[in-house]
Amino acid sequence: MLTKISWRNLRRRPLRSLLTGMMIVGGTIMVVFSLGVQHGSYGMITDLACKSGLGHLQVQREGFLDKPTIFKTLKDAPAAIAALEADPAVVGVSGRVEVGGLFAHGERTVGGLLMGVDPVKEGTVTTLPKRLVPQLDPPNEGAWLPATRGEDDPLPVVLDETLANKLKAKIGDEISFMSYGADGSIIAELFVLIGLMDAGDGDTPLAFTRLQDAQALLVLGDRLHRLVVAVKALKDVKRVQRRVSLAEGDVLLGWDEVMPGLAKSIESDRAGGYIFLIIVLLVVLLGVANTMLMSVFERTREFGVLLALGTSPRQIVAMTLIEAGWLSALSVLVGAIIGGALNAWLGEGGIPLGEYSMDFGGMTIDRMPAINDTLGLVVIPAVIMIFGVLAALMPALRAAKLDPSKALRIDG
Amino acid sequence: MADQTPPKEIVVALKGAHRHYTTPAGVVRALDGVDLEIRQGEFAVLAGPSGSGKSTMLNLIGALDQPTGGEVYIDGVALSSQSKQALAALRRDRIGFVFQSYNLIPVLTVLENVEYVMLLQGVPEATRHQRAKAILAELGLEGMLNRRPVELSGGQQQRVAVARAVVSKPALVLADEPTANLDSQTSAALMDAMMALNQTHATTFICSTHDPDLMARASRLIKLRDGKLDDREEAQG
Ligand SMILES: Nc1ncnc2c1ncn2[C@@H]1O[C@H](COP(=O)(O)OP(=O)(O)O)[C@@H](O)[C@H]1O
Ligand SMILES: [Mg+2]
Repeated sequence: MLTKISWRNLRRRPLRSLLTGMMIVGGTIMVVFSLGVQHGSYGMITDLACKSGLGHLQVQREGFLDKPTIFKTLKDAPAAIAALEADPAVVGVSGRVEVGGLFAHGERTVGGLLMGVDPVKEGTVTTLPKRLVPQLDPPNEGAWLPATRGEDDPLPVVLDETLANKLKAKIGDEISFMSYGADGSIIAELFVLIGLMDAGDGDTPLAFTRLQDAQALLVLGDRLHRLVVAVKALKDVKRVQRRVSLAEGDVLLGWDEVMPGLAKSIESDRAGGYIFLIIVLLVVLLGVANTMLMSVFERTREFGVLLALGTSPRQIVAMTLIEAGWLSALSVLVGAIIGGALNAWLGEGGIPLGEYSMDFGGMTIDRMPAINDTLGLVVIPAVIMIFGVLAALMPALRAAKLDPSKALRIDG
Repeated sequence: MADQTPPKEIVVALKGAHRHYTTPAGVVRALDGVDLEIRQGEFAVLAGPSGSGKSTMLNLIGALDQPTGGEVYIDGVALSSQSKQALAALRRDRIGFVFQSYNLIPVLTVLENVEYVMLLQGVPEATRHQRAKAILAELGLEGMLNRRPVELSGGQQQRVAVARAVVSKPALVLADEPTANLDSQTSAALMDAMMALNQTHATTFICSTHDPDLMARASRLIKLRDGKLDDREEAQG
C-alpha cells in the first residue's frame, strides 16, 4: 500500500512529475548515448591499433616487454601456438623475431629494428601486409614478403617509408644490415628492398623480412620472440587471457599491456567523459530534490494526518523515497531504452566524421561507432536512478521529522 | 506532580498538564494546569470558545504534542516516557482521530482510507476488507467503497473519517470539532452515529465542540476557558 500511495501521489501532479521525469529521461539518453559513442570509438581505435601491428594479444618471454633482447625467446612456442589456435575466440596467431641494428644504403646509415614475420600468417593478425605505399618515381606498387624464396634468390626486405626515405632507398636497391646474432657473432647481410609501407610506428624505424630468413640470420633456430594474436572481438582479450595457459616463463599480454600509452590515453579520455555524467547526476539530484521538496511541502498537513494515524517516521521516509524511486526508475528505464536504441541504430556505422576524419596508425578513422555495453547501458543508468532516490532523502527526512500537531494546523 | 499512576480503567489522565507557547508577543498559556480523568466507555464533550485550548488538549492526549509541564497518561502509561516510535505505535493501536476538516488521504479510496490503519497494524487483507466494509455499512456508506474523498459530501467524508477512527477498535477516539464544517442536520446525524458506536462498541470518545446543541446531548461535559477547566463542569455520567 505504501507503494500504491507513492505511485498515486506521483500521478497527482502529472505535469510536474512528467517534467521532472522528462528531465531524467533526457539526461539518461544523453549519458547512455555519449557513453555508447565514447566506448564504441575506444573499441574501434583500439581494434585498429591492435591490427595495425601489435595484435590484440602477445605471447612473450617474461621480462621481454620491459627489456627486449635477442636472447629472451619463448620457452615453448609450439605449445603456446597449439593452445591459442584451439581457443574458439582466436582468429590468428603469427610468430615474430626481431633485432635492433644498423641499416645502410650508399653513404647513409640509420639505426632501426629488423623484424622477421611470417609472410602468410601475419595477414591473419595485422594489416601490415596490406599497407604497402605505392611509389611514383619511378612508378612501382612494391610487394609484400613472398611466402617462399628460392635458395639463390636475394633476401627480400620491406621498409617503413620513413626509414626508406632516410636511407634514400628505392625499390630494387640493396640494403645492408649489421647486428649481433643470438650466438654473439657479428652478422652483416645484404637485403633487396621489395616494398615500402606505412608501418604506423612513428618512433622506431622498422624493416620486415621473412621469419625463416631472420631466424637463420640471427642464429635463432626455430625460436621466436613473440607470438602476435588476433581475436574475434576486443572483449575476447580478457577471456582468452583467462582460458589459455602457457609454459612457465611465457606470458600472455593483452593489448593494454603491450600498448600502455594507448590504454592510458583512453583512460584519461574516459575520465573526461564522466564530467558529462556528473553534470547529469547533479541535474537529476537537484531536479528530484526540488520536486520532492515541493511535494512534501504542499502535503505537510497530509503527513500530519499520516503521523496522527500512527504511520511511523520510518514509513514516511519509505513512502517518500518510493515515490522518488518510481519517478527515477521509470524515467531512467525510458531514457536507457531510447539511448540504447540510438546506439544500436547507429551501431558500427556510427557517426560519420566526414572532413574531420583522422589518420591513425596508417588507418583512417572516418566514423565514431556506437555500442551498448553493460557499463553504459546498465551500470551508469542504475547510478542515475540511485541518485534520483537519494535526492529524495532530504525531503523525506523533513517529512518524517514534522511535528504532527503543527502539521495538522497548516491550512490545506 | 505525577506522583501516582492512575488505575487501568482510567483511559486518559491529565495531571497538572500545561502547554505554553513562547511567541514573540509573549507566552501563550494554551493549556494551563489541567487535571482530568476519562473512564473507559465515556462519551465526553469538550466545550469552550475558540482559543480556549480544546485542540491543544486533544493533541496532548493524542500524543501529537508534548506538554510543557505535567503529565499525560494513556492506559496508565506516562507519554513522556515513550519514544517517538512508541508514540507512533500508540496512536496506531490505541487512538483514533477525527479532525475538523475530515483529512482523508486524497489518493486513497473510501475503503482504502478505512483500511489504512489496519494495514499499518499488519492485519491480513481479508480481515481488513471485512471489518472496513462492516463499519462503513454501519455508517450507511456501503455504496461508496471505491469512491475518492473528493467525490463525497462533507458529511459523507466525516463519516468515513469516523469509520477510519473506530475500525481498528481503539481504546479512545479523539474528535476535534468534527461537526464544525457541517450543517446542523448533518451534525446531529454524525453525533448520533458516534454515540451509537460508543454504545455498541464501548469505545471511549472525547469530542470537542462549540455547538450548544451538541453540548446539550453530552453525558459528560468538560468546559475549558483560557486553558483551564471551568469549575462548572457537569459530571452526569
Ligand atoms: N503553535 C502555536 N503557537 C503559538 N500559539 C498557539 C499555537 N497553537 C495554539 N496556540 C494558541 O493556543 C491557544 C489555544 O489554541 P487551541 O488549542 O487551538 O484552541 P481551540 O482549539 O479551543 O480553538 C490559542 O490562543 C492559540 O492561538
Ligand atoms: Mg481547535
